[in-house]
Amino acid sequence: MKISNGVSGLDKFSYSVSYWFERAAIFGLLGVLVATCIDVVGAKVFHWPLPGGTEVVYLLQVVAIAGALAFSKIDGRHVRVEFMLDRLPKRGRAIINSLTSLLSLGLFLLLGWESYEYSLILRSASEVTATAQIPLYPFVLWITLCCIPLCLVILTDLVSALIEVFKK
Amino acid sequence: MSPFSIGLIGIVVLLLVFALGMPISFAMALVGIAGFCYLVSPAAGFSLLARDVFAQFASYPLSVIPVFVLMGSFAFAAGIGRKLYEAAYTTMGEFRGGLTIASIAACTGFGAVCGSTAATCATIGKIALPEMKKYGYNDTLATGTIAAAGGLGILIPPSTSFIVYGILTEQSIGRLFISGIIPGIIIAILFMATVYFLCRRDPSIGPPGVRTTMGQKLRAMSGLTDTAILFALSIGGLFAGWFSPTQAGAIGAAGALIIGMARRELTWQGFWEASKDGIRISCMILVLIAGATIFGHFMAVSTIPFVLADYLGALPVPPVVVMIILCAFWFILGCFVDAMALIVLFVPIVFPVVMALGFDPIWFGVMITVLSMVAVVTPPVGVNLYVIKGVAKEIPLETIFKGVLPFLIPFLIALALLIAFPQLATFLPSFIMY
Repeated sequence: MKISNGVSGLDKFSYSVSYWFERAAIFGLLGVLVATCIDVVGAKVFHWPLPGGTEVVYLLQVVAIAGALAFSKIDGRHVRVEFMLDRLPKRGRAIINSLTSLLSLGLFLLLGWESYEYSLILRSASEVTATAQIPLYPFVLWITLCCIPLCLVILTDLVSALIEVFKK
Repeated sequence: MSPFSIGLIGIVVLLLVFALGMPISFAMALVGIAGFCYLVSPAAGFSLLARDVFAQFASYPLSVIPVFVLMGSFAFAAGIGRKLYEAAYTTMGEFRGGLTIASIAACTGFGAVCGSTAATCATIGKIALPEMKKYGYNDTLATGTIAAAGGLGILIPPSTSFIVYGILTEQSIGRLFISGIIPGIIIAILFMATVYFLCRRDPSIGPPGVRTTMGQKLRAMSGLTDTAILFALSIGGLFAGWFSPTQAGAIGAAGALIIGMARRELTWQGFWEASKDGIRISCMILVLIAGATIFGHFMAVSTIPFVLADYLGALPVPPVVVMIILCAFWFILGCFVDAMALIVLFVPIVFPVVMALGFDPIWFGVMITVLSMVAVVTPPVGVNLYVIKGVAKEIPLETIFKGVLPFLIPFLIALALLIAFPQLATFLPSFIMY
């Protein structure tokens, strides 16, 4: 009972954190749209393209896509081959799910850590975009941050699957 | 063990991890990193993960995906699909099988503002299926038609399939977009002919709808205005060379928003839901591309694509036979793997082979997209089948499976036509110089 309460709490927490990250992602996506429209209308009508417009667009895209990682997982958007799993009994499915969740958790912990290390390299090398001179490391660090809610979501899946495996 | 053997083991392990139900993008990244670590070094493999993910998320060419996905989501929220269906329904509904023919026409039209099969299928399905039920249409015909015609969303520009193929193979997205128009129209006509023959054989499956006057038909055609404006603004601007692909998508998305607001169809709730849908689909596609990029780096160090290209190029059979084998292979895999996943996974591997055999890269993009249309309707993994099931919950999945079977014939005819007459795909792009 205590374990399932804990899982439920973790589930609610990861959901709410993912929800806020997704909000940031939506603003990032709408930012991509607005920046591109300002750039194209500015260039075609006023002969004044948005300074560093291309860089603003691709950096906002990082905010958008990384921010949506966790909620897309919650929403089941990442495509999977499910038909073979569906043929297994409940416990067999839970064993496989716990294995794939463990592998996914390992992958995103590694991505989070490696992105953090990469951001330090970019920071120490003072890497910036070519035109607008925007520092790159905060955007790589954003990927590290976005791995946190995703890892929480995957951890919830893992614990739920393990509970199913050991259920009498 | 040679890098080639390690690459082959990597592919087998990848298919095994797919079968375990791990998200395809995660599986490609995981196996790609493991293989790269083994063949190069663990330090290089681990740092490749962060660098590849950031490089793809921060890729300006890839920003074309979110903006065109958003255009489709906003077009849906702005009620453009409903107006298209109403126009098609008023003009064609009175004929035998007319409502299904109208659905095909509406899917073709919606494909001109939306680049996704699932969105096209869901949009037209939600409007058309209740109407067909009202007029006593057979469930098998109704669901099968919309599942198959929904695939036109990726052949008629804009198209997420063409965008991803164009990015992976460094082909002009504008030329790919325009190359889909003639095959898209041919497939739509073949679908309509299939419906006509099915209804002629058994008139009870598609009874005629309400008769309309010529005046009503002409008035209904005004429902095409929004689609025409959006297509002309976005895709027209791209073809004319006014906009880059990303700019064309952004202008199209903004145009769909403005149309929705001007017609008072788009609510705040609708806008927010469309944005959420847009970001989740974009995230799924970009993560898929990031995973495929990592796997692609592993494949490159394993030398598989080059060895395969040399081997198939040297086979003592005409290139067209190799192409037919490739199509059959794609068709079978398409039954089990998602269409977009198949593109990002296999296009980098087979593209060098196709180039070595002397095929046109734009033509091959059309072939891949038509095969992807087949993949989205073939069980057990055809996404459109499940979209229709989600729209019409009371209809058994088997009925939908049965419904799409007759539409595999038009697909095969279209593929045969494209192989026999590649100009169907390459004629229009020859007018575009960029």
